[in-house]
Amino acid sequence: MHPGMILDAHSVPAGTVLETEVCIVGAGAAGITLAREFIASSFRVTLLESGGMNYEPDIQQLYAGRSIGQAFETLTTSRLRFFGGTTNHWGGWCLPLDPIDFAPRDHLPYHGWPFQRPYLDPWYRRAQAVCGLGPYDYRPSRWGIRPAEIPPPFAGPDFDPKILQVSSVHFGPAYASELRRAPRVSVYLHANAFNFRPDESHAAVGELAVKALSGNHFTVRARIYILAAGGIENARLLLASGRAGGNGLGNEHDLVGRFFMVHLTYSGGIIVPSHPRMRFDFRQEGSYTGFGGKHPFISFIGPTAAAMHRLELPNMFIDWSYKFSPVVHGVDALKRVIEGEPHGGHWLADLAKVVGSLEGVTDFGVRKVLFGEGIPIEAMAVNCASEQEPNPESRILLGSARDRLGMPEVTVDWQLAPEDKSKAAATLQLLGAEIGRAGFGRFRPALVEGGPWPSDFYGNEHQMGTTRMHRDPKLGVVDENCRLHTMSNLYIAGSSVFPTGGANNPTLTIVALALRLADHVKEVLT
Amino acid sequence: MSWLTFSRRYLLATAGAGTAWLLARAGESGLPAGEEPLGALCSDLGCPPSIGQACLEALPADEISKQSLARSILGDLGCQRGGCPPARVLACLARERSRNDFRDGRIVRVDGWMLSRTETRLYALTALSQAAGTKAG
Ligand SMILES: Cc1cc2nc3c(=O)[nH]c(=O)nc-3n(C[C@H](O)[C@H](O)[C@H](O)COP(=O)(O)OP(=O)(O)OC[C@H]3O[C@@H](n4cnc5c(N)ncnc54)[C@H](O)[C@@H]3O)c2cc1C
Repeated sequence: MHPGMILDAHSVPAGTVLETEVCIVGAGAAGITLAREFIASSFRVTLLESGGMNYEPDIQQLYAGRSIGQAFETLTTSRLRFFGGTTNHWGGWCLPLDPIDFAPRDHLPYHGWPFQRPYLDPWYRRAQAVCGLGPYDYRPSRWGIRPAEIPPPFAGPDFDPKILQVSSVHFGPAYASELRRAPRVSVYLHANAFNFRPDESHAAVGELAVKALSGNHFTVRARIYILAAGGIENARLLLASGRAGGNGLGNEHDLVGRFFMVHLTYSGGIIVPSHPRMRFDFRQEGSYTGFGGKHPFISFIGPTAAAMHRLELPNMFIDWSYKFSPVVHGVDALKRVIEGEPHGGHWLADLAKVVGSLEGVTDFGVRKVLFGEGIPIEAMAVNCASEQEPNPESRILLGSARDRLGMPEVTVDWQLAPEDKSKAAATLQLLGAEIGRAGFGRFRPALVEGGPWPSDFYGNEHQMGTTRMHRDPKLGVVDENCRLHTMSNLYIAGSSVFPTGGANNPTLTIVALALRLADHVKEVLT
Repeated sequence: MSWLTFSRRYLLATAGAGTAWLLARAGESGLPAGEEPLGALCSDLGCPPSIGQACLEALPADEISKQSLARSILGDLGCQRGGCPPARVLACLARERSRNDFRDGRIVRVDGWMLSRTETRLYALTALSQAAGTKAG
């Protein structure tokens, strides 16, 4: 009988062939979710994890690589290589992608998912529980945010408020004991998937070569393989698999590793409110008890679907921090934006004064609740994460250097399209216009048409697109079931399958897709 | 209460008020007779010189004279020459016009800030008036 437990690859005799039904590579959010789904099934599952139960520097170093395009220097810090994966230090911000993220958008090259948001809703609902969240309801009004509290620029027609829920689940510690107890799930730590070898037909994976840093090596033979090693590593493993000197698995159309996308993150600018005591209660980081438990949530704003369609804009996640008058000049985020400007910080106070005087006493409610008396808001520092266009020139490649296992290191050639900047600037221009139109205040965007990205611009840790999903094998590495078009038993889990990435945090979608994949694999196996 | 309701009510309530006081300030701005309320509005706004100066720099050179700015502002506010309403009414009109500027894309970048064309002109006019006042003084 297959021993269900957490084992170490070092203890497997060299040359062993492990037989299993489902082999999952990577014990992060995706891999652990998948493995858990098989606990109550009759199938044997082998979950291979590169790291141990804790951080180990030499294992983490296997994530090292090079950046040759737009600077992408966070290969070893934006991912964690041990049981639980990157959720060992994630922020836990959870929300589904927006319906528009799935929808065809003619202005967006390579747009669209093979299915729409409502189709994924049942799995999103289940993903809420996996991530320890409240109900699958992301309408701000259901989280105690009354429509009357939302100031006009953020209540439509071009921007509207949204909420996300905050998870405190770190997948490793949260689910280790459950997996340890599962009789048909075997977890192998320090087990690095190294090479998926096709069988003689070249239409299926025959076996997977596994290596440990100690030099130990063994093989896994499974009916189904699921690669869940993260948004970059999934592509790296496919590129490095197959015969030596080949172009990898599933890469007949030179798509593996292409379309590498992240969320573009930067300071969006400063808002000077026309009334420093107007009501901002809708924008908060709070806990809501209305659902019979205490559920942390955060509210933010984004462009409406109508505005995105009309003006051909990408999605954008916009939030801000409040800067109160007594401390405003000392606050870092704000300093970044105004430092070095000819008029510096005194502009804020001056402009607030004159705009307030032009706007008069507005009808925005005067703040009483949240901050009590006497702390007027001098400014709001806006933070943005905007959607990156799917771009075939932006890609993950194999470098010439090899890691300690002998696998080619990853090379990231992150590329941006000119539209990534110009359309983000257009969104901020729209935000500024709406803020002015509503008399809410004035906006100083940190990104303008034709200008450079703000100095704090970076591509964040949401790595997507490198094994994209598309029904057409010429446009996608995996089909709508997340199976490689050209390998009948190799599936991919994780954000590498996202054909477009929206602007929302990806993990709830990763988990929802993993649950859906588990259902599909069970069907295939029976 | 929507802003529009508010501003209309405000406008009606204040239309006739304070006229005497405003008249007393006529001439401070050095604007032609009949346009003094505009000067009073500018001084009411209390625009700091740094902002007024930056607004001057942001506007096209051919707009930069008191006469030209006053003409553009009053024209945009629907006031005929010589038919300028009191400053408080002008303030309400300017506020509405400024918001419409944002809606219709009449936006001027002043030191990176997105200001409406109307307010930019108002602040610029203030700067010119202040400069004139300083010279005169
Ligand atoms: C600082 C930070 C904050 C974040 N905050 C948020 C947030 O608030 N909300 C959100 O939605 N997302 C957030 N993320 C992103 C989130 O962590 C990832 O989306 C999520 O962890 C991805 O899950 P995954 O299972 O696909 O990959 P991972 O969690 O990275 O797991 C991959 C696993 O595969 C293993 N592995 C890799 N290669 C091999 C191999 N060859 N053989 C065997 N195993 C291998 C790794 O060791 C790892 O355990 C954040 C990320 C970072 C870095």
